[in-house]
Amino acid sequence: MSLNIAGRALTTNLAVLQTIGHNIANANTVGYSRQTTQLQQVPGQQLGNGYFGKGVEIASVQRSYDAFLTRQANATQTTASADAVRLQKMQQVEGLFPLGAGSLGTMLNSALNAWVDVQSSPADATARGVVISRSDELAARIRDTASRLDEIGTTAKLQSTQVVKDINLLAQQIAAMNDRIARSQSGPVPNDLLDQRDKLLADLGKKIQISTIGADDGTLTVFAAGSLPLVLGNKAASLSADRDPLDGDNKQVINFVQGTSKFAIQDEFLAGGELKGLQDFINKDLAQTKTSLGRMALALATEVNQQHQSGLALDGSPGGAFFNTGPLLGKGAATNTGTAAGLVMTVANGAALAASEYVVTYATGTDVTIQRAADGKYFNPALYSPGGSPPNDGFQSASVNIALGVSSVEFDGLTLNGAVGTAAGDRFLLRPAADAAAKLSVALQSPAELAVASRVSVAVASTNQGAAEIEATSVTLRQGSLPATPLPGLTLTFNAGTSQFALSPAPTLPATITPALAVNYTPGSPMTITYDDGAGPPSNQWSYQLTLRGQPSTGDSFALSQTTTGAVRYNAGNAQAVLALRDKQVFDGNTTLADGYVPVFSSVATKLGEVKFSAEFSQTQAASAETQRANQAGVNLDEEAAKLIQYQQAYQASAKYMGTVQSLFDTLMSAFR
Amino acid sequence: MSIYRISTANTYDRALLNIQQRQSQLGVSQEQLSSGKRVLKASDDAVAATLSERTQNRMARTAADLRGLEASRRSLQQGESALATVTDLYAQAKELLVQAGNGAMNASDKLTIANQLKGIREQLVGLANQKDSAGNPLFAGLGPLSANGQPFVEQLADPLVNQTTYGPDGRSVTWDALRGQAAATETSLPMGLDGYRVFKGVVANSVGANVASNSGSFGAFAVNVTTPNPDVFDLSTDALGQSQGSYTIAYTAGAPGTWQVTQNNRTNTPLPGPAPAPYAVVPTVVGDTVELNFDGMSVKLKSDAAADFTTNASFTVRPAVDRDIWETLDRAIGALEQGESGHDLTQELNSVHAQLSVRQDQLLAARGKLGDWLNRADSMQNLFAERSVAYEKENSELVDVDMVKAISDFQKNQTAYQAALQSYSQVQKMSMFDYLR
Repeated sequence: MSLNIAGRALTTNLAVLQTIGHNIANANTVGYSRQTTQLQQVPGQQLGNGYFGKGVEIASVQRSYDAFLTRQANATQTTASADAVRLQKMQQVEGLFPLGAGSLGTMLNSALNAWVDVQSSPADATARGVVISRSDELAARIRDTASRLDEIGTTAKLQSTQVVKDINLLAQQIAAMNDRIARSQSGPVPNDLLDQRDKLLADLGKKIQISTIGADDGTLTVFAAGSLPLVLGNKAASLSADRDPLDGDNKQVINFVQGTSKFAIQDEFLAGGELKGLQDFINKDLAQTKTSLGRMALALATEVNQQHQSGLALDGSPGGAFFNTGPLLGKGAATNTGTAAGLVMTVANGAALAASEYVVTYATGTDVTIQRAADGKYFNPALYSPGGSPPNDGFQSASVNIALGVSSVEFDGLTLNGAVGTAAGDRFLLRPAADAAAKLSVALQSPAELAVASRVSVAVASTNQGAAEIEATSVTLRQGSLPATPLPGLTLTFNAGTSQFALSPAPTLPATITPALAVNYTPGSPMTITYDDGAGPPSNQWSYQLTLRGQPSTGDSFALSQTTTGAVRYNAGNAQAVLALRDKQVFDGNTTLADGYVPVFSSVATKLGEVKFSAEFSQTQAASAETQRANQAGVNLDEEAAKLIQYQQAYQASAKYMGTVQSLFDTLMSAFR
Repeated sequence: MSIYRISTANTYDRALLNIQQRQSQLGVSQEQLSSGKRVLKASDDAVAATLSERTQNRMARTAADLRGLEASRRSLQQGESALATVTDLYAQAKELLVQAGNGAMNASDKLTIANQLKGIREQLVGLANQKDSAGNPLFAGLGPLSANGQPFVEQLADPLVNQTTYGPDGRSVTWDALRGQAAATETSLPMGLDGYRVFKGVVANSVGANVASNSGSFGAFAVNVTTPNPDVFDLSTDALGQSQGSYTIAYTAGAPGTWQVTQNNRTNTPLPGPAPAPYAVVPTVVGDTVELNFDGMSVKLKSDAAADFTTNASFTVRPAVDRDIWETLDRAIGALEQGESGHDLTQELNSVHAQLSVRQDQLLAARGKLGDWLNRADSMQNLFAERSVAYEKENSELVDVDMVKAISDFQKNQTAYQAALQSYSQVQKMSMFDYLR
């Protein structure tokens, strides 16, 4: 009996020491939960006057595991992983938008400001050349930035493909682990297998947010992206990263694959993990940055082209396009059933462009809905009134069918032309801005092609008595194109009583001018008279701008007429008009062209600041949750040392007890000798 | 479970993470110190970075405005120096006119003076067409019309339109540019002046008329206008290009005979009723000169042979509009070359002298304007410089590092990093196992 107790005590304490050894050995094993040997006394035996204990025995080996702390640690880690990977990617983007001397804004301004020198000496080939080369540098930089953004996107897509592979592998391993755990379910709790599975779950949580439900057989069902069973018992499904059907070159979609069926996962349902960070980066951050950069490029090209085409080159010929952006084509989705290759767009108004992509969906073969990707709103032509008060861009929450057919529709400064061969259900993605940024280049070949001179010059009548001086004269193309022939002249005659200039001669119908009769005079601000040739539709429109200073007298007249070929080399009216574009509010109605880089930059900067903040925050949270979990489940070596001594002493005591029992037995035996 | 329990491995992890954080903070401090910038990347301070971009745009704009201003200033300075020369030439011309009026001058002296005046006239054409260093004409108003960039073109005169009192001299200076003065704005100055206002323009109330022969051949004729009939001649404004009235005088009969005067083109408004019927004038004949007095004018017709005044002789008398400085000088030159003398010459020279004075006033007004603009250029330059400094300061406040703060931050971070390393090595050294010996 006593020997029994001693023997049991020895083996039990040795077992405890073995567990301590296991803990010490695994002190640095990731995911290891420390184990403790639970001891229990062997119930005593009544021997007449009392119960006599029978010693100690091992009840179980338990792992120190808290499901809630583990869940919390995993949940915070999954957010932290998403933020960390997004931050890392955004920092790569940040590198493309430097500050100060090397910034795109500096290049934009130096390209525009170069026109100052042309204005000072209009015929100077060097000054003209500088405008072209500065603009060329700017265009190259925008192209380069756009292609670097594409590269970063490609890398991110490769990375997410890798993450998806990792997820699939982990899912299989968890399924396998489920199998082993289920098979050992009949015996004692397989602590180390459970630890390993928890480790796999933690690893999986870093890649994609998951939730788990335990089953009676000890297996865990793992759900990803809300309710998709990634692991069910010992079966694992898989994910795949595929090209987005609408915008395969730039975006990607994650599909859930189970057997032969595929199910596209909305990005919103990916709540965390590296995959979420990458998807957000590819489909949102990068797309937005490209669009915002592209909008700057497209608006710049449109505004400068319109003004450049309104001027005269050194040889007196009409100016051509200054920038090339290539054709703007809305691409059809891979799933389209119609035969239309794409939808052609043109820019109607550079100042009305929005930093967004658009999705055109054919409800029928001819009717479409136009959805703005940036805010998800739909275009309703009935609401569209850009000149109203307040102006309405025509976008609303509810979708509206627009009968497009082969006609065209204008929204957000774009004109979208319908195409033949479209079918119901066809979708087209319009990304005019991003396309323009990728192709922006300077169209001019030689400095002489720079249209520095204004189409029209002003001449003061000999009889003028007043003191009005002329600040600027120019023509600006508004719509369509300018005739190659000399523009119709216009004479402004002052009336001091009304402070207006009367306009003459009235154009021959169908041509009209606005205002038709007289224009109000404010010193130092341009008087704009719009000429519509009445052709078309659409008709060609251009405006004459004349800025005067000082007080004219009644009857003073100012005649606008085509600039003569000889005068072209001394005229810098168009250069002056291009310079005035610097202060034109082009972006969202409140940012000037010269500040065009600021919205691009600030969207990157604020996004980055936000991502950085949330990455730091989520990392701190994850670290603290992990510390809480580890403090409960991890090994403390000092504790193990203390226990080692404790159980060593217990073992020694048991041995001593055994020795004592033996010596008692010996004493007894020697009594019979 | 004890609330004091910690996991050894996690302690190491956390300590390492903290040390890395400290190290990265130290790196940031070091980078700020070595670059002198607090905001190096957009994410360092999104707001400051954005504002700094804007400020830098303004700086670039100010620099560009300054470049434009300097170009304008150079042109204006050249214009000013050209006009200074013109002023000297005007003074010389006046001096010559005084000399020419000296009764002691003989015909060849007068020719010499006429030649000197011709020289001045040529120089003035050159000066009025002067270009700045970039090749832009200085006095072309809103721009020349021809590729050669000359606002003042010396050309053969149309005998009926452009002629002096002394008959067609075969040349005139025409304006080949757009009239008008470019305006100065808050940030820029014009590159040149309206040369028309400086050199051209009909001088107010100038009195004179031209006579053109409609038939016959006459050596010379002269008109002396005392009080022109304003219904026919309006000399009060710059009437260039406007239809003007004229007289036709025609010989009718006899020797010396009578002449008939007809008023043509009474275009002035309001019209004082219908034109009067042609009326007859009896001339005064002195030698080979026939003098007609009518309507406040005296017209002298001169011929070598009295027989030239035949029945078909007729003349047109038009107002003499002194369109520019050159024509003014031409009148003096013509009078001197034609050998006018005595009262007629004095009167002619006095008239030219008076007109030259008016032209001098025009010149002074132009120089005053130039001086004003050059002053403005100075003040604008100062303004741009101040603006530049202000932007520079603003930008510096936004993105530059505060050295005192950066150094103190650096030292703080350095101390923290050292402390982290030291405590790590000391704390982690301690283990109960060390005591189990």
